[in-house]
Amino acid sequence: MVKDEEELHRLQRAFREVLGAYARPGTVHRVEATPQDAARPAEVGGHLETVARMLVDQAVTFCVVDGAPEAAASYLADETHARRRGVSDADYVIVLPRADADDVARAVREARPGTLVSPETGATVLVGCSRLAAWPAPDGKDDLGADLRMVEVRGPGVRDVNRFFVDREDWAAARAARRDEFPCGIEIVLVDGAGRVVAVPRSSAVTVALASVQEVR
Amino acid sequence: MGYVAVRGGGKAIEESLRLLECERVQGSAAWSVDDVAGTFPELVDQVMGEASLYAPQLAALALKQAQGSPDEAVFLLRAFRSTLERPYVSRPVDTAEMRPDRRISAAFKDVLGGQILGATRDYSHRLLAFELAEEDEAALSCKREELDAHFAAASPVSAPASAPAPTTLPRVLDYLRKEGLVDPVVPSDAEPMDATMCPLSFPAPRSVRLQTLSRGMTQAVEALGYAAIRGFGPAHPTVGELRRGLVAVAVDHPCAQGDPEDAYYLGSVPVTEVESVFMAEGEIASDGKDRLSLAVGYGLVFGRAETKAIAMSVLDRCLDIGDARYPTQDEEFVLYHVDGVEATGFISHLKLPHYVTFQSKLSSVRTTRTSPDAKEAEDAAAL
Amino acid sequence: MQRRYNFAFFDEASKREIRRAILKGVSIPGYQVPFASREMPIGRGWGTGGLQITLSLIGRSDVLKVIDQGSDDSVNAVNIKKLVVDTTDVEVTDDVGAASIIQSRHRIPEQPLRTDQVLVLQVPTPEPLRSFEASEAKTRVLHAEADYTGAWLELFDQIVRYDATTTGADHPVLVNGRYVMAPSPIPRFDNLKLNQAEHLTLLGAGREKKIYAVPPHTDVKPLDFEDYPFAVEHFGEARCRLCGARDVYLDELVDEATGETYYQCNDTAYCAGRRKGGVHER
Repeated sequence: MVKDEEELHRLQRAFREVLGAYARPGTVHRVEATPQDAARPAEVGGHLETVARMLVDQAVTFCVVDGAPEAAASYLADETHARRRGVSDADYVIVLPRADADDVARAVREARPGTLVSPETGATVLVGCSRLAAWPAPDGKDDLGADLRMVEVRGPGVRDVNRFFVDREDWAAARAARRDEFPCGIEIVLVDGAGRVVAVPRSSAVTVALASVQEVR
Repeated sequence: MGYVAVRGGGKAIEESLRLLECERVQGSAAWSVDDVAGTFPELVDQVMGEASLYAPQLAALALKQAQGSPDEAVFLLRAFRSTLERPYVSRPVDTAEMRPDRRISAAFKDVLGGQILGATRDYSHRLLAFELAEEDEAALSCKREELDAHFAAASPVSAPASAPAPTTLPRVLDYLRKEGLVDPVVPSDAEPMDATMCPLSFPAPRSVRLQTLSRGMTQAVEALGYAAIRGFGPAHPTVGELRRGLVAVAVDHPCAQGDPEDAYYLGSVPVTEVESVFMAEGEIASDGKDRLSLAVGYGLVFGRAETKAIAMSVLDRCLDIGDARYPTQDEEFVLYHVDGVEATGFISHLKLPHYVTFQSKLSSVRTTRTSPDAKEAEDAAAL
Repeated sequence: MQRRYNFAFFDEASKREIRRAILKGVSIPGYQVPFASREMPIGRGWGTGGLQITLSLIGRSDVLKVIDQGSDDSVNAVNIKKLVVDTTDVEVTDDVGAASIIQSRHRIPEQPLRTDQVLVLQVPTPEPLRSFEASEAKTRVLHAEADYTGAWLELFDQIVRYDATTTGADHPVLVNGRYVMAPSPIPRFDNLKLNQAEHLTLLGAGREKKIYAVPPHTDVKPLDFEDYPFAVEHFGEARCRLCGARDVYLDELVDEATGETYYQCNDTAYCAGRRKGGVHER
């Protein structure tokens, strides 16, 4: 539910950024945080909440994946009026930033692929992460940590190849292991703690480059 | 120059709307929305039914604004409905709880609880009541008093529609159900789908089918229902029961789901419900012989739209049979085409300019008429 | 009974539903995503699909251009613009370059669009297979199985009968090598502008309740045969009487005084821009 006029506009801006991310897979976009609310568990994060609020409401189902998802899930259910389901039944699967690699792998592995007749019923998986970075860095500033991995994306929306850096690659391995038959598949939306967003729709081909930041430089 | 008429479109639209408003005020008496609702209650019901929005005042306003065009009024009300958030869904309405002010069965001479003719035009003579042309406020209130006094003196069963009937009544078809003659239907607690909130898919869930028919253009539903019983569908049904009256609508408290005692009562809406009975093939008996049974078609509409409710019950049954030889049994044919706003919208869009596509058509037509020689020359030139 | 309408007309739940459908559409290029399709204050068939997309996209900083049959001033374009402006107060423009969202019926502007622009096309009949298969349930299965024999046969039949494909506008295209898609009734001339475009194209069919998309840098190929290659409308030696342009889509007009046929740019803003810039040859 939208609380006020300001949220309405924040969600509109978020949608355009996320749409840009979908239209150009692998490029980095920005969403604003939903203001702090006393009821919001710290593990949700204001930016991830913005993306969730933009997509999720009483008409759809969702699932929170984390070692201890209860507080986050009941907060989001209260806020959005969406119904909770298991990973494999949910329209939107929300992986908290602190979730470990096993949880991420489970979310991506079990998310619903949709059917050949209705591929749009394939799930969307929002994956919280610590750090996303565009490559090459748009302003020439390059403050990437050594723990980041480069991901290459090809497919519709990409002229040649789009590259970005991210601190977690667990989702990519699980995605590759799914072997969905296009048009079935899932969308993955990565959201970091500063509101950076990268989308990887099912139409994209993804490779995690072996290169670390140092090697790319 | 030829087609520059499309320029200055903004000004033209403004003036066209002004002209329309001019026409409205020229003829209109300063009727209030209440006057419209009070004078044309059945039209208001029709508009609310096709718009899927129970709002008598707004429906009357829409009719006033639309200068009496029901299509246009439905359009206005539906567009308004699109702007409303829908945070709650009501509890299922149990029409067995209805307190009918009219209830008839064509299947039996007498039924448990009795036939209630109620207010109906069915047995009226369609003769123009010329005296209505002279009816003024004084005559009206005189008539009101007289009729109120008449019904106050009469028994509660024939009390006017405004007074609640005393009791609920059993369903006529329960009698046949008990005997096992009507195909048993397992009550379904599946969440109904709302065709205005979810995309249409085929085969459509029954909830979507019933909703689409119920909000369908009244005359379209009636025309298709007629076609179905005239020869393009199953034979003549029997109206097992037609009941009309108020049903209560309640919503659960969002945190206390389930307990009807905790639900909030929102109000009551007038509906007409029909159960039609058709002959159907039953299961094969233990001795291998075919048996017949009875199948039911269901209709439920806002207000007093009885013909529409019956037609809806016929089409519901048709779509259950689903024999694609008959258009009335083809789900896509029926459900896609009974919607008034879609039909009027698409037909009227033909008035929009189409000169780009027409130019493209012209180009194709001309291509097929080029003589082979000219074509060869053209091809040669292209090389 | 005065009541103000919401920003961009819809309640937020309606926008969310449309936004979800748009994102799925972008993820599956050329696939028609079913959506509930809200009733709009303009007629079904009058651009309600495009309008629903535009209203779910638009924000306070957007600049909107709406064209109908190539013209910014056409009554329907004006009408759609007015509704959007009345409910959002956004700025409108005729200038393609200045617009962030361009909603159009039956044309893609002559001036190529940029990465940061979104093209919204209004679609009356989104199903390219409808002409030979009336049932929605069946066409969905054909798409699921990528069984496009019927679409090819239809073109083949035209060639056999007329020695040419006779599709007119809305010539079917194959998107990303997977889905056959109705590009909306844009002339064949505009089909090629969808291929490997810089911009995102969103297509909305309100009455038929479908949203679909062509992302940027996506292959869009008109269906054709090697020996009967896809051909755009041709205007011979004609050029625009106003700006002299060739190689644009032209309107065919008749001079009332002389009875002679003459031609004019269909894209009125493009033509005006050329005349302002003093360009007379393309």
